[in-house]
Amino acid sequence: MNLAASWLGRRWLAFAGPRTRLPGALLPLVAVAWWLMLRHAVSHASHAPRNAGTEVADWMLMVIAMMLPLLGPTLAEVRRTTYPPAHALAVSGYVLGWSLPWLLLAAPVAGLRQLELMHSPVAAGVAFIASAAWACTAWHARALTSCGLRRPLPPAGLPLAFGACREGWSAGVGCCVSCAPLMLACTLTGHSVIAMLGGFALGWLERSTYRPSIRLGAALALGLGVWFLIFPAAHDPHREHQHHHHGADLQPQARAAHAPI
Amino acid sequence: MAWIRKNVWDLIATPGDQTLYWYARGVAAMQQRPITDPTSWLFQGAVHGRPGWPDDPEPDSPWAQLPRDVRETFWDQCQHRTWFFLPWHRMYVGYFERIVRAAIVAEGGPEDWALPYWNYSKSAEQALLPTPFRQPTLDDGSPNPLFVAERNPPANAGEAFLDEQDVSLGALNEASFFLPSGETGTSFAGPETIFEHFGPSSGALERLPHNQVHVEVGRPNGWMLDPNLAALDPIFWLHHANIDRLWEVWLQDPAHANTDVAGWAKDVAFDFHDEAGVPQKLTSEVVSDAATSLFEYTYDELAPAVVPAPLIAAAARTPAPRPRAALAAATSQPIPLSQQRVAVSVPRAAPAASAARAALTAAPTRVFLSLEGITANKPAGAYDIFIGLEGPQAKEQFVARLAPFGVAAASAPQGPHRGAGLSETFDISQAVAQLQASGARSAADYKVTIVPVKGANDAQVTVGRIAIYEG
Repeated sequence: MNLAASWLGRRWLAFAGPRTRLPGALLPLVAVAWWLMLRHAVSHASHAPRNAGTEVADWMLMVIAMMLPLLGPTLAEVRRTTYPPAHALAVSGYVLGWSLPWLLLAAPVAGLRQLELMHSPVAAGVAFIASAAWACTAWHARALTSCGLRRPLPPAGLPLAFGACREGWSAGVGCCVSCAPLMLACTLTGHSVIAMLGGFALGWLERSTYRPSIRLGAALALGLGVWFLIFPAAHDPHREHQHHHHGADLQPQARAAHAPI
Repeated sequence: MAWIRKNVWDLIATPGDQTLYWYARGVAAMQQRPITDPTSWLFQGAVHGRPGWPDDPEPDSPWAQLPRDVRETFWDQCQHRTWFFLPWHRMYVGYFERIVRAAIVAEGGPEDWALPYWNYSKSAEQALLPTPFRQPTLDDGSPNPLFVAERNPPANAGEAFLDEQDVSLGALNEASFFLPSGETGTSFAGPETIFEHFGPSSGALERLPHNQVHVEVGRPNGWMLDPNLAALDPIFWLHHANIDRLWEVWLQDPAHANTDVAGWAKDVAFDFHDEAGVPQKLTSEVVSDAATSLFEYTYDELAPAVVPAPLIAAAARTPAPRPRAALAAATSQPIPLSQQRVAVSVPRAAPAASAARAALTAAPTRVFLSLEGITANKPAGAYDIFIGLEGPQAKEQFVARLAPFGVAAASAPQGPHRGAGLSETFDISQAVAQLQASGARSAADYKVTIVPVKGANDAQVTVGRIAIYEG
């Protein structure tokens, strides 16, 4: 497992460069999260209302797949500034702290997803447009500045664990403030592949390129909103749900034509 | 046509030379223009930094006259503590020079006017503030556009205020152009970053003499001390012309070269206005060679002044590959600085960590001292840093002068790094080797002493952590 993780890590670094450095141990986690979410996205059942527990799990998988890779430079800094034997403790503490705000958001998101209204393409399209508008605000810009270590960490031991957790929490709150509208929009599409890949690209544009571009990210979010409003056939969870349960009279080709993207 | 930038003191000593006279005329012309004119003095000053940043400008202030999108595109753009420091300031000074030249030509001045540079490292006499900048009025009694009261009083009085440490050229010994992201070490130009108004740490040239000259000209509360006001002082431009010249001096060594990494050379374009007020975008590769760049200038002298002996042996100067330094010792609590000498013990890692490290490497070839998370409530003065090893042979070695230029801006909670402050890293390999050669125990805890220089001002400065990295 370690060999596979380090080989993956080397290949990733060669492709993506130092700005995207993610600790090798997290790469399999991100890869599995993407695989599960993509599998979920192409399944008809993904558009049926799911129970709250499943929605929470989907939300966190999406966060791991789309948001965790953007922490690469910060986690590299966490590792650089801690004693080598404490690297795992530092990174774990930081990621744990960072994930807590997202976990807190999972419950209201899961609640929203229980509403029939939240399964229409209009909801997804409007959510993306709203996230584009949010991206143009000063609050969003200020929240983006939380992506990074704010204070030097204690070098080792329990103070390091608590310090890393605290710093991770602080970054996670900023991450949620800046990206939660986008992530909600992705959720409302039923975790569509287009939405997730587009959302990931948007996060990349805002943080990880050499000249971050909030405007380009907002334009991309706006484009995604228009896409999901204009092409409801590409995403109509209610119709897909009906086909799934009542589609015995449809030919297989017709069913496939309505497959979600 | 290639313009030649000359030493300001040589120009002053040349009978009949009018370079500084026309500079004053050009500055005066720019100061007359409204801030809405991109070639005005206030607009150009705000390109580096706007007073009150990162807060929005006061509604009744001149800086509020321009819409937000113009302010966000063209103002507060200066690149500090990043590998973009040198090319961005070359573009900034280059366009400024063209704007001033156009104003001079419009007033009947010479077309071959070029911005002088202030070579404060050349001699004690040349370290004085150039004479034309000290006189409050011109010969005709009118206000001197080059004079600014908000400076270090001895500077304006023509007294010595820069010492050898302030203007040290040790940066010219740095072998690497930049420090790759995620590594610990030093470099000539600065660390690899994205577009950064204030990045993680300084390159060697930015730290000394750039930061220290800013601090010493501006102390205790002058414009040059504050990045948001510094460009409003006409001496700022001669200072940065010299920093730009030192970049060219560094490149004279055939072992030195700019980087061709796309992230530095091509991926980031910076926004300026030319002398006609037309917006322009430039990437670093366009200005990597001063003579062939669109600014077409060179310097009258590219021989370095006195350069200190290298801090590390020549064999260790090869830029790559080098071992990755790892944390070896660190404090666990913030250290408040004061107007008194502060000595701090920096304990080594727990035995398990040290053993693990020792198992991987032999004695470290390079040792770095890092002062991390330096914050202050206002612009601060300079400190001298000393390193020692705990034990009966309690000797100390001088490391470097710390000039926390920009610390207040970096400490602003609403700033780009939410008040993370500054960090500075120094190569102490030679100093540690000398301590060990004099009998200090190599595995001893470190001791760092921080001494305020020339009387610290009343800024409350705190160092978040002192760390030692070995590799």
